[in-house]
Amino acid sequence: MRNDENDPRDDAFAERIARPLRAPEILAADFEARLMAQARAEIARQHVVTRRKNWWTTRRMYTMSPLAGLALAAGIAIIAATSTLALGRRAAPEAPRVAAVHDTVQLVRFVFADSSARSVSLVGDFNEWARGRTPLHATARAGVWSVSIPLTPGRHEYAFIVNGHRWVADPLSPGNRDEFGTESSVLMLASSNDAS
Amino acid sequence: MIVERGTKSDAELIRALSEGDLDAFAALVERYRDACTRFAVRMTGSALDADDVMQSVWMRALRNIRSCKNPDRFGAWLYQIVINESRTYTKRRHQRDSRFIDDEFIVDSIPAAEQPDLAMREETQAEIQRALDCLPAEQREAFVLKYVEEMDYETMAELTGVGVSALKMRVSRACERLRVLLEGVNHA
Repeated sequence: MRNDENDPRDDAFAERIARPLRAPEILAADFEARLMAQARAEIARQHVVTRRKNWWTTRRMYTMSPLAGLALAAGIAIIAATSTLALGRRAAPEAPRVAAVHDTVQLVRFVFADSSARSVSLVGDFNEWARGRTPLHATARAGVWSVSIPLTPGRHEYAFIVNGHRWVADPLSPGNRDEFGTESSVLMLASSNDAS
Repeated sequence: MIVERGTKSDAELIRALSEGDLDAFAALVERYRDACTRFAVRMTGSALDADDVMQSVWMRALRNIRSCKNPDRFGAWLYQIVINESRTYTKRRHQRDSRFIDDEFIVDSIPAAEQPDLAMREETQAEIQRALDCLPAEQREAFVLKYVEEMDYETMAELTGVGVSALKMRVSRACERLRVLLEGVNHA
């Protein structure tokens, strides 16, 4: 889609300096995991809103016998009369109730620091303890690695794999030792319902 | 609904996404990720800042997908969001007066295997990016669209909402300024 509508001198110069800028750029390794976690929550939220809206706006047809119709009309009249009488002695207004929509997953950031590490990955019950499936990426700070992943609320066990072979439990979290003596760390993730 | 990535048109993916199909969203992200990411990094000057911009871009696209009136032109629609988010981000950063270019991160974030001449290009790219970051945002935007993304002026005008003659002026001024800034590194 190039055209030569510019000063040819500009074109030659710009072409030369633009070439290195056309190199592809790659964002952090966990970019897509974070994005998809947000997207999943957004789609769930939209789904709830749409379902509620649909219920109120969908046309419905009910059938009933004349006798049932009369009984319903009488019931409505009684409720209306009772409400009118109760107007004068209304109780103090209740605080408004807001329907909250909570995400089913939360984004959890795992951080690991080791100046000798050349690679770090995360293993846990959430990724079938598969080495290399969830790599941490080096942050701007030397020796500090991190990854953010979506997790469901509850108890999770995890550990880090350093340089592809060294198993390290998170020194900042409570530990757990399985029947074979392997130590892992435990993360108790409260649901957003619990937090509110 | 199962979406086979790469085989569906944008319109089909958008239809599926409107029905809440997360796989369709993932397929769109994969399809447009590279071009949008490069533009965001060039505009913000840093992969870290571009990360924020691109998260906002994709979430805005997802929330407003029903307002994409012409699904066959999803790419152009998305690019407008990228441009707007980049503008907002650079404006906010300018207001904070905290210009920060993490050149090291940009270079480190590119796997060496995909960059055969990385060592040679590393310094040049960082220098040019730094010079680019010194330009006023509208000049930087025009220059990147014209020469990095290789768009013609009509497309640029459509995406930015700026007239062709104004864009030409911005590109020309950007070149003029870059020539001054890079005199020491570019032996033009």
